[in-house]
Amino acid sequence: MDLMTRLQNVDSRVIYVILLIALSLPLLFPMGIPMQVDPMVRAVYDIIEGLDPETDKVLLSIDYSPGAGLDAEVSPVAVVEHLTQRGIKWVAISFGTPDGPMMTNRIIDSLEQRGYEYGKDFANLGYMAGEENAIRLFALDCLSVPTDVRGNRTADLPVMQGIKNVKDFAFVMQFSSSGPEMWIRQVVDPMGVPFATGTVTVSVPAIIPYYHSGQVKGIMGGVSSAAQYELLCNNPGRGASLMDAQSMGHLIIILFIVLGNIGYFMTKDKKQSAGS
Amino acid sequence: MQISTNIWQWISVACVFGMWSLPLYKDNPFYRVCQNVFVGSCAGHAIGIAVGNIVNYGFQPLGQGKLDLLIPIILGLMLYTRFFPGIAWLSRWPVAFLVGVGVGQTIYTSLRSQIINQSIAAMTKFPGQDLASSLNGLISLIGLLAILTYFLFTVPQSRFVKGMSQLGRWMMMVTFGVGFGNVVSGRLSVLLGELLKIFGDWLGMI
Repeated sequence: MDLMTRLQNVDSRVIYVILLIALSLPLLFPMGIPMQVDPMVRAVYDIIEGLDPETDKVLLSIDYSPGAGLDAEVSPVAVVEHLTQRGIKWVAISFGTPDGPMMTNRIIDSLEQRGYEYGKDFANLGYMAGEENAIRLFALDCLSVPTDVRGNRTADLPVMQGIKNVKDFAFVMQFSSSGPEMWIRQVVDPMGVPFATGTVTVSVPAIIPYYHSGQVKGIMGGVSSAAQYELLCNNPGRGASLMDAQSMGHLIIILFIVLGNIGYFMTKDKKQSAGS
Repeated sequence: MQISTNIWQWISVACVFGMWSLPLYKDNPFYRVCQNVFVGSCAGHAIGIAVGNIVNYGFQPLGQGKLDLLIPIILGLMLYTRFFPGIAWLSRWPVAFLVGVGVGQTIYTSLRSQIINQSIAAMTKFPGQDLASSLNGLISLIGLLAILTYFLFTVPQSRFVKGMSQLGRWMMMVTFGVGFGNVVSGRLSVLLGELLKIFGDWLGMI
């Protein structure tokens, strides 16, 4: 078997191992590959920078589960860090998955360890079943959730004072592993609330039309967006530390695609000349 | 390097290695144990959350005197009548209610948000504020028309229609390519999360 034929028949396990090594090395020995900030990510940053910590509150819809992995988790961490830096109060709720409150608690735990106060600076209202219908109900009456995940009455939480419907939030952001269509249909278009979305990288192309139409004000997609956001906040965190490895992974995949195609076209030419 | 002494980190990393053993080696008992642990814990968690929801949003407020909740509770119980052949027809009522609410809630909003507003945005992109955005808008508009032409099966396939249809096909190939690129990037991020767990949380090397 010649080299070109072998290129097309590389054992997938070889590719997996090379990929594992290529991703592991930059994690252990960061290289600092430069990156540019996407306008969709900057838009989210600008909205939050424009909020008034004295009066404005933010609603976060945490709709991803652990299966979405780091790709979904780094964006909300970066945004919450920014909100915390600016002293903006926020409330989280979940409509897309029952795992949402658990994912919110992972973010909240680190804030509480740093002295921020649950109920006053932020709150986790838990999971509300019913998906699109639940979003609509909550949008019209935010106190329709009777208690938060810790059993406190929602109406008694300091962070919920002055909040009756979703229009009382200055900004709404959904973090999910799919699209924001339900929010656009039930809240953004009928109620005109400023809305942005954070999602996994896979879902970004499907959401871009909503960004261009202005229905979604900004998009954060996966690890790269989180890294860019951390860069904007001058607060390099998990996202930034992963970008070298992510870039190296892309290079390896591109290399394999190019090699596979070279092998394909070379052997195709040989087969054609052998046939003629 | 400071290896974690937390037992849950060890279990978590063992499960990661177990899942990796399928693509890197072959189907094996270790993989199947990890797979079953995952499926079982997910199912257990979902059931727990579901029961919690019924109690928190149904029975608790009902006990506090919100009697209107009896209607959804009864409708919910009616779903189970399908297991009793004599009264199975009763299960159609809550299904009809669910379908009616779902369709009523989304049919108008989908039309407005995903068809009308998207069409308006597509029409008003060209010309843009500057040359670059105008060019972007033009490509977007031509791409939209070309892809729509590809799905026109009821008009004679003239040379122009065929050309537009071919362009539409190329546009879709580019879109699928972008989609695939994003899938690869997303999957790499998931893998990176696991590596971070191994090198960071477990081995303490990062």
